[in-house]
Amino acid sequence: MKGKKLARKVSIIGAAYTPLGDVRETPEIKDFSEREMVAMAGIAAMKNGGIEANDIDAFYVACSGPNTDAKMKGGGPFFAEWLGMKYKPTMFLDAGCVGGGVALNSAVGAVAGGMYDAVLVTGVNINMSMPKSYYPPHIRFDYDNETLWDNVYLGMDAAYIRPSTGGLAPYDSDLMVYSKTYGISLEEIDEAFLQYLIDKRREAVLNPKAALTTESFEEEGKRFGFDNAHDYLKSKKYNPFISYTGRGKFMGWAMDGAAAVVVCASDLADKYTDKPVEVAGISVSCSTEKDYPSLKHVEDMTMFEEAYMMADITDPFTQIDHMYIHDCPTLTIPIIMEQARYVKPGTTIDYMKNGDFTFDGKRPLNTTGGRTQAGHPRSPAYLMEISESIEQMRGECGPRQMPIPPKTSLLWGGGSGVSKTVTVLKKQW
Amino acid sequence: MEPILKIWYDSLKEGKILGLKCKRCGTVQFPPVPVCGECSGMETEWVEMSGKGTMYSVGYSPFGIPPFVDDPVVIGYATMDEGMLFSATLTGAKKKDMEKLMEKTPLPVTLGIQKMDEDVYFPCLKLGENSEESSGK
Repeated sequence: MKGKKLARKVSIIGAAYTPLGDVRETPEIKDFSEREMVAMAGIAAMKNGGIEANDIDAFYVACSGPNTDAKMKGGGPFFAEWLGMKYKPTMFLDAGCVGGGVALNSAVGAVAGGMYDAVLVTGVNINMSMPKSYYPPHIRFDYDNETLWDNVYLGMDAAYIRPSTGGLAPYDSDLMVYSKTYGISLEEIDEAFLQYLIDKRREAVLNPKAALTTESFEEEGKRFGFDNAHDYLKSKKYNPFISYTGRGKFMGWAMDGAAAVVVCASDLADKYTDKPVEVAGISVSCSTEKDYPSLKHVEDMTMFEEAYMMADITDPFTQIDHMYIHDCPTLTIPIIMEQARYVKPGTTIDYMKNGDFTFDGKRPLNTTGGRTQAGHPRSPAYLMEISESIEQMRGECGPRQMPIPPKTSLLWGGGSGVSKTVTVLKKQW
Repeated sequence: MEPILKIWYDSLKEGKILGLKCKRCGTVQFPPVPVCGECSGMETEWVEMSGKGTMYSVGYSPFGIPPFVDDPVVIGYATMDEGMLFSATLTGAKKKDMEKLMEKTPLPVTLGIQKMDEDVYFPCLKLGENSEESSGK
């Protein structure tokens, strides 16, 4: 794929995501099943894109762990009528937490190749409760222990008992090498990550879709008797280490959610919107290990190289204004960000501790609040961040709006297995 | 096509650590897979691993190795002499040893075999350049 351009230019004309919360309690999504979640996101994305189901040729649904978590197999057709897509081609995909991203890139390829003119790509996971097999899925139950652990460990390669693909140990390994390579202590790295959490919480509070995030870490810390957010986030009781370098709050905050994106041939996009966003570069990769001695993750470097060649990006530091890194866990940020060359090697920790990764900072990153603070809906996460990139470009983010709307956005996602994907978006108007 | 997983796991029970060597370019796939990741060759033969490697980093799994090991383990990340990356339990290492180990990396390691349960044995990593040296630890 290296060096290839898409046969036909592809744009995103509409994107949206549901509020993130708990379908048992959050008012906007109360009593929803996966069907209503997908329909809510899909309808909002189609309206956002000025397009209707009749003009869409196919739809894709990404769902992580559908057999255990949604009690469904091959579920694409289950959603068809809910989206006005009866009889249309569908694909149902599980690529863990990056399912939405892998589905998106497949849709881009299908449109670029001329098979379709427009595709609706959706992702859904209800993570805080589960349905019962063969029951109507709006009736929810608490997770049993077995399903809860299956959630985590079925994403591991059991053929060769690779704990690396399921736990945080490989991130420890990466950060140990990073610390040694750049002479930055693990304590300094930990402090920087705590500042990152504080910054992302600030953004999530400003994000109306982050339904469960309502107070800053300063306010939350005060409730538990701490004078400041740092002391609260350093406490053993409220934020213990769960690996050598990773604390509990460095993991994604599981919530229920769905997201959708409408992919359309660029030469048809102006029929529907005057603010299309070009999918200028894409790449997908996989790996069963996540650890490398020299911080050079072969699959990530290959993806960035391919996507940049496709998008004519030669200097990411100056050409990219906004980035998403799947921050479940946050530990992945320094390695991925520097492989993407969004910052210079060895500088991530300085930016992070200085609060520069905010929507109003020097290198905007995860401006929704990211997976740890806005919430982690799993499969829809990448599509949610595509929506954020587009809203930032269109100047629609309200109190989280970047002072200068970005022209080029870069997204990187990873999911169980490990599947990975990169997308470069460019403003077209 | 052979039952690769069964052959490999049965060999571990017998005390042998095997890889699959590409007949075209000589690259060894470990753990074994039938298509060469280097040259795409599809003809392979079983070989015994040298068992030697170099460890460059460590990680910590407080949840052990599910479903086999409940106690926390330190995981070693190594490049084997045959060229591939491999990670496994670093026997004898504790969480408190990790930063000191990291200061000393790269460190020579050898492959050992760990009994996970009655049916499953799996390679592990041991510090040291040869099995006699590491067996004393």
